[in-house]
Amino acid sequence: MNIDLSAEQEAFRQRVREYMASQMMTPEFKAELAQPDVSHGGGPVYWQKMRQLGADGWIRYSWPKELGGEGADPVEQYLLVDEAKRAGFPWPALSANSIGPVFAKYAQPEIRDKVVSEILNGEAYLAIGYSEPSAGSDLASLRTRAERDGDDWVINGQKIWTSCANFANYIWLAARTDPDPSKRHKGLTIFLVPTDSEGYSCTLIHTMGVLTTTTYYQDVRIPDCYRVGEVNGGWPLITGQLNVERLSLVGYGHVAKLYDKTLGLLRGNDDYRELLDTPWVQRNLAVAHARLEALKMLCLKSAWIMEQGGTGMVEASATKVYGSELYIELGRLMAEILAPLANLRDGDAVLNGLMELWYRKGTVHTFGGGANELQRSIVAAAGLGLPRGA
Amino acid sequence: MDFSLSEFQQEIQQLAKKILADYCTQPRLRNAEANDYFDAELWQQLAEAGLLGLALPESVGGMAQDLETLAVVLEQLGAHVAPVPGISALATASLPLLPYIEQPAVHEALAALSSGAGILTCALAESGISGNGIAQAVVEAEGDHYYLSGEKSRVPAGLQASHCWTVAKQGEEQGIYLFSCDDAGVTRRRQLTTSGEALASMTLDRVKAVKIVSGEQVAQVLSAAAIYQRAASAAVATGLCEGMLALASEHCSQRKQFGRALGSFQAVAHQLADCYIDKECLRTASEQVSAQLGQNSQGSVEGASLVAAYWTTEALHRVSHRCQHVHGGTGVDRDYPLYRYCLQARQIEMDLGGQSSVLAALGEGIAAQRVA
Ligand SMILES: Cc1cc2nc3c(=O)[nH]c(=O)nc-3n(C[C@H](O)[C@H](O)[C@H](O)COP(=O)(O)OP(=O)(O)OC[C@H]3O[C@@H](n4cnc5c(N)ncnc54)[C@H](O)[C@@H]3O)c2cc1C
Repeated sequence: MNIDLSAEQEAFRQRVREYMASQMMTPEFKAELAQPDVSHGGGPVYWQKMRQLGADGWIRYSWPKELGGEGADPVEQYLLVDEAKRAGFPWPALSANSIGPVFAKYAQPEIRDKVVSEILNGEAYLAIGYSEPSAGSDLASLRTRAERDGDDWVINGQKIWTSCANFANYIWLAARTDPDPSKRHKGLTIFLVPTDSEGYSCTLIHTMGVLTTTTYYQDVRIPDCYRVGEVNGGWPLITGQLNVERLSLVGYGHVAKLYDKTLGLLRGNDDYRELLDTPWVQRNLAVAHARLEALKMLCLKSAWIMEQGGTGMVEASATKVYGSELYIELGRLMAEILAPLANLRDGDAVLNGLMELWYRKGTVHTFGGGANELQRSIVAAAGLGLPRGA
Repeated sequence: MDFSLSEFQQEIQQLAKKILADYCTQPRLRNAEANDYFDAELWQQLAEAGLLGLALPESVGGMAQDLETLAVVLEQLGAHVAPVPGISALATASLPLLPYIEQPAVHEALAALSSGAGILTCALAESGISGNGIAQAVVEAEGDHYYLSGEKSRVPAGLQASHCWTVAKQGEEQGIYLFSCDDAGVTRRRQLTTSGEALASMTLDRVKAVKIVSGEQVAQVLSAAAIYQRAASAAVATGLCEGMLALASEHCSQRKQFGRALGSFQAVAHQLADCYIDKECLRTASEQVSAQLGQNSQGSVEGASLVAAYWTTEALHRVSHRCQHVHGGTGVDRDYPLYRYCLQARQIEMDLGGQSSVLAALGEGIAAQRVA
């Protein structure tokens, strides 16, 4: 057994880390990301950085060779996204890593090359339009309709939680093309809807922690070339990338960030010496450290299993449950050390507000990316061979 | 033994519910959020109904009730996420001064609180992490007058308060001093918190003050303030948990996925059942500490207050995250009321210093045999 990254993998990680620090996370960009309405991207500096990321080859790096990429393996792919997120860069994981390659594989030739080059060059963002007000966990019940009209499709419906749609160029949309609701997931088709289409609109949703949107489709007419994959063949395109997505939600760097920053603060300032010497503070740090080490290994192991050709389904589900619940627990363990300073906002905030924001963002991970109950059912059935329950 | 509310307590509960239901509507709460999470009109209504003086003596216009009865009102403040400084004004800042009510300045401050003409607060923290108790603020005496100088931080209701007490030292001797927030030497600055509630930092520059106590008794006042804060927080937290669970139960009964109500999934139902158990543990801890602080006090109040603080931090953390979780996206949407409860939950959890420090204090009390 060798549980370490190879020398090449380690060098790769270093390279990404340095690139992120020196090229991407400039003071100008950090200042832009501190503004709530563009904190996920979409500001002028964001687009500048995205184009640079594209020009420097980082987006194509993890794409398969046959689709115009560099063919990075799952471990490198994981390291890349992990380091980017750890640096605080709003890496377009879903748009560029999950959806992009699926689009490139199944899109029709009329639009494929143009959109693929936009994605790889950091010029386009694809927001995901799956969830609807009445279809969340039960995605297969979605109702947004796409009807054939000559060479076109006419789309009507509403999506909710369409994150980043406020600055996306396209919506990667799941719509019902077979009106028979009993067909459920067998009646769904994927479309790429340009956000400048007539009849499309988007309003902001302010959540406790992050910004997202509702998108509306009123007689949105798009040519058939914007259909991706077979008619009624959308489901495998939706579920194909889920395991990788789950892992990217709770990647080690993303979760460990709060621990790293808190420890940095405590070690970097003599005022906190007394705290560091306090037994319960040490225990909080120790629990966080021990639990994070497990997350790190689980993430790497899952990526390794996928690299070896496994599906990684059970591992991804287990890691997602563990990582999302750890995210919440860490928010408590670290905030306790600086409580009640951890409640302060704006200019008084500790760690530039990271500690205060952490609580507000915490719960999204336990139901997003497939609710933890559903992940636990996967672990129980596929991992332990238990009979499938309701 | 009797766990029921007295008739009077039930009347008080109804009164509080009625006022709060009228004032804690979604539009008003949204408006309060943009205004430091303080609703001055609601505060006046509570004063007129006599609820601000509920636990204060009749000599200052109060109703002379015990903490048990006050807890009934505090719970309702939580259940309605009321934008008023209940914990600090009605408990932490006011109740520790009751032994000194004969002093004219204390009398005046408590009378102002009770009538709604003013708000009493206390400045227990200074800047940075090591604010609590180890005051650096200094006092100069000139004849019968005292003048305070220093930096105070995170003063609850600090922007609205009329009266404030704090800890300062004259030479090496610590004392508790009361001052008017309108004194020309007081400069206040807004400190926004996660729930939208504003605290204030105060720069004190030769602020005229009255000495309440000094020496040995300072520790007693501070310890009483901590105990009252824990007891009041437990009562408010019980109300918050009730509020969160009511929303989650309603949502999981109505919302369907996979053709069935969310609450019919055993995994969901069990999480809410666990929340219920946490909430009931918290309620008993809250009842225990308020009963002990009331007339029939027996046993260690410090211990009971720390147990209440433990359950407050435990229940708020677990109930808030689980209730958000079973709501899915709806639970974090700022157009749906749950998040306000959750942010207040977090605020109170960390205001108490967080669970680890609470347990350390409780363990220390057990080791020193102060706690049975
Ligand atoms: C900030 C944010 C960003 C998002 N971004 C996107 C996006 O970009 N694109 C997109 O399409 N969607 C997005 N989503 C939506 C997200 O994927 C959904 O919230 C998620 O799928 C859960 O659906 P729901 O919110 O409708 O909750 P529901 O499906 O109503 O579930 C609520 C709860 O019910 C329970 N539950 C549900 N089903 C079961 C079951 N079978 N067994 C046991 N328990 C169950 C779970 O506790 C679950 O947490 C986002 C959501 C948020 C909040």
